[in-house]
Amino acid sequence: MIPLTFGARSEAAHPFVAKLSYDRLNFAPGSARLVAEVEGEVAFACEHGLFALATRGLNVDGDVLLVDPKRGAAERILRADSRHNTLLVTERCDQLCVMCSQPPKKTHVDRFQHFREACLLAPEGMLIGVSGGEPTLYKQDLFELIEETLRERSDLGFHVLSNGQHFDDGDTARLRDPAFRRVTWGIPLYSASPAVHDDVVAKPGAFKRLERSLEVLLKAGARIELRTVVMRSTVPGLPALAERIAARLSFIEAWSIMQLENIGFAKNRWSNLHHDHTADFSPFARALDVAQLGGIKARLFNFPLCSVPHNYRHLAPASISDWKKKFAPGCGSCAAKDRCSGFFEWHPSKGLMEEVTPL
Amino acid sequence: MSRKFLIPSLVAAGFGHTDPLQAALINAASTNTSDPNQAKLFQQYKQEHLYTLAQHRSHSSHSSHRSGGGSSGGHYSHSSHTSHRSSTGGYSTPTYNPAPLYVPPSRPTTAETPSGSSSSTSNQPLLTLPATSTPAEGGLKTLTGRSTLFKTIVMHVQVALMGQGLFDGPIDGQVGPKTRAALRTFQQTHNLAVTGTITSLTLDALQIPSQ
Repeated sequence: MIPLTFGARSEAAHPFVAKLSYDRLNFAPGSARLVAEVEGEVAFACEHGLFALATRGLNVDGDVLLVDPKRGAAERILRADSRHNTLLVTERCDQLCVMCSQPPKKTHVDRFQHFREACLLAPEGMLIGVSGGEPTLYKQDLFELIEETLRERSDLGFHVLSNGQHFDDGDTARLRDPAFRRVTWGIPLYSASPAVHDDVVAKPGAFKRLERSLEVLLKAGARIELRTVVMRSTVPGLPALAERIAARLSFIEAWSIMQLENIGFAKNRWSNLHHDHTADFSPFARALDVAQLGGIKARLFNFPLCSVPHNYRHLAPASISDWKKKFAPGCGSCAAKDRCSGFFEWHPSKGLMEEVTPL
Repeated sequence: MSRKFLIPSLVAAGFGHTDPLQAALINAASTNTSDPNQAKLFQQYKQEHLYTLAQHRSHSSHSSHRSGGGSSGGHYSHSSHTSHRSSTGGYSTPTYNPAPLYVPPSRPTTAETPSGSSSSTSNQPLLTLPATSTPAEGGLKTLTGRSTLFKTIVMHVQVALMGQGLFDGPIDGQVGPKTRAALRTFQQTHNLAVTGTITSLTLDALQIPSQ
C-alpha cells in the first residue's frame, strides 16, 4: 500500500503546507527545496523552516504535504504521480451509513486554510477529490475553497463526495458560476425506495432531503455522479433504481454501482452486508441495461474484471485508488490487470479473491 | 537525481554576503587553524560527530582549490562547481564545502564511537512518531523512521551561526531559544523574512550547501 503519511521532524512552530521539489534552484512560492538526502530520509527547507521526512525511498518530488511538527507527521495531501488525491475536509457526518468505510467522528479539525494553500500548489490539470465526513456540513468553507482555487487555477477540477443533505435554494445562483463546471458531485443514492435508502444511511427523511438537493443541483446545472453501494439490501432494488434514475434523474452525468469495502463499519458487518455478485449477475445486468437504454452512463466500480460477464466488462473500469489497490495471488498471469480494478487492500482473502480467473 | 549546488549560484546572483567571519569559519572547520576560538568550535563539533570529522579530513585535500581564490566570492562562481557536478561519479563528498551535511547514520563506524564522547546522538531515533498518534486517514499505518539527518543539518546551521558570532550555545542539533534568537538576528541583518526558523533562504544565506 502506498503510504499517505510520513514520519516527519520539523522545527516549525505550526503546521504548514509545502510542495516538495528536488530542484534546488526552485524558488517558486510554497516550494520546499531539497537540502539533503540519506537512505530513506529526505530533508527539505521552505519558508516555514527545515523538515525531514522518512520517505523510505519513495519519490516525493512535486508532492504537496501538510507537515504537522507536533504530531511528527507529514500528510501527502496531493501526490504528484497519482490521480487519486482526496482532501478529507471533516470527519463529521450527519448520516451513519451502515457500511461506512470511514466512520465519522464528533470532532472537526478545520484545515480549510491548509487545503486552500495545497490546492494552489497542485500539479497541472489535477482532479482533486474532496471527502469526509460530510464536506457540505462546512458548505461555505467548501464553496470558498473551490471558488478561490478555480479562480486562480482553471486547470484544476474537483470531485466532491457529498450525502446531498445540505443544498438549498440559496445555493442555486452560486453553483451556476462557471467555476463549478469543473466540479462533480458524487452523491450516494441507494434505492428508489425511500425506506431502503433511509435505512442504509440511518437517517429518517434522508431520501426526501436528497431529492430536494438534487433539484437544487439540477437547477444550477451541476455535474452529478450518483453512487450506489452493492449490498444485500440494495441489490434487489437495482433495476427499479435504474428505472427511476433513467426516468427522473436523467440530468446526472454518471451512475456508479460500487462494491462494498471491507473496512470501517462494513468490516464487522461483512457477512450481513456483503453480496456475492458472481452468484447471480442478473440484477446488475438488468440495471445496466435499463440505464443504458435511458441514456444513463452507468458503470461498475471496484468489480474485478474476471468476476463480470464478458459483455459487461467494458463497464467495469480500473476504479480502485492506487494506494489501496491489490491483486489476488491468482492474478499474476492475467493480461487484463492494467484495466482491472483489482481488490481493495482490505478485501477478505476468502471468497472472490480465491476465484479469480486470469484473462 | 542530479546533484546541484545551490549556494554558489546564489552568491553569484548576489544573494548573501561572503562575510570575513564566514571565511574564518571555513578555515576553522576545514583546517587546523591556530585561532583558539575557532579551535574550540572545531573541538565541540568533533566531540559530537566523529564521523563528520572524518569527512572533514577527506575534504582537506580540496582546500587548495578553495583557498586559491581568497578574495571575495570568486571561487564560488557557479561554473566551477558545475564541472564538479558533472565529473563526480558516486557522489558523497562535496568538494568545495567545509561542512558536509551528508552524514550517513548507519555506517558501522558510528557504532564504534567511544562511549565517552557524549551521548552518541547518531543512534537516537529522530523521526519516531509519538505512540499516541492516530493512524492516517484510510487506515494507514503512520511511518516511523530513524534519522540523524535533521539534527545534522541543524548542527551545521548552529556552527554557521556561531561563525557569524551570533550563537554561543551548544552545537547540539536542537532548535532551542538560543538558536532561534540567532536565526532571527541573522535574518534581520540579511533582509530575510524573520521567522526564527531554518528557512531555505536562510540556509542559502548561511551558505549551507544542499547535498
